[in-house]
Amino acid sequence: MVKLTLNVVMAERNISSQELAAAIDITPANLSILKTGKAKAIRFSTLEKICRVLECQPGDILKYVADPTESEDE
Amino acid sequence: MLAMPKWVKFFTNLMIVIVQISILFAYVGFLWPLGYLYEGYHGDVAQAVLDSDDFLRYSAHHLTAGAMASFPGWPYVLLMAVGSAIWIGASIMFAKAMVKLLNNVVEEDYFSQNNIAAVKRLVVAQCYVVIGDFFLAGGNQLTSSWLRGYNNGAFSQTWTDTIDAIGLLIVLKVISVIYERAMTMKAENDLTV
Repeated sequence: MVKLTLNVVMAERNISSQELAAAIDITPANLSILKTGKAKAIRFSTLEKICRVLECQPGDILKYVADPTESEDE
Repeated sequence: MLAMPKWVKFFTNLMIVIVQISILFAYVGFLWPLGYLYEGYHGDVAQAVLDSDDFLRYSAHHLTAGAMASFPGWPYVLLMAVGSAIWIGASIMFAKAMVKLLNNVVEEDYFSQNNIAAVKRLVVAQCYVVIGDFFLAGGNQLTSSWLRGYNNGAFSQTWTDTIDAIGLLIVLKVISVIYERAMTMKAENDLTV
């Protein structure tokens, strides 16, 4: 599964949720969905804005983690 | 989201009231199966069926005393009593699910787990309607075969009605599956940032 490590990058850049939400023009509620990992998908446009504001690469905020339940099924 | 036109809201509310009143009458309808059992208990079911105002005879056929005597009274009574009880219960279940669904529509709550549950209940209720129709069609087949006539009143279901009910069941199931899929898509859309 793909995990969002947005919290880590935000902490490194010392930027608050409200500031980031305002900068990338999304609601704090939607940013919270991203941060808590509830999001089912992320738009390229949102990813682009986050990368621009946080001055990072998509790979810095997205991480693939092997799902233990999936490997058990296989 | 588009607001529901006032006239649609009015007629939906009116429909809710009508369905709720019909639910009350349907509860009283549970006396009907008891009527069939009473008929069976008193015997001479064939004569009772023939005397009924709702029973219409095929004009060209002559009814013999042998046919009257061999009429399977208890199987008829049981098929009609069980069938009508299932049918009334299913109708109440269907109507209640419909009221829930219409209430949510009036409140403009189109996509919710409550609605999915209500649509699934409609499907289950229709399954019971099919079962009820099956019993009733069996009962009415007995009067048609032995007494050469047909029931023209309540619970006059025939095999054709049973097939129609199966058709409606398939349509409802398809709607239920599509609605559930739409809910999943909406949930995914809501969680796309």
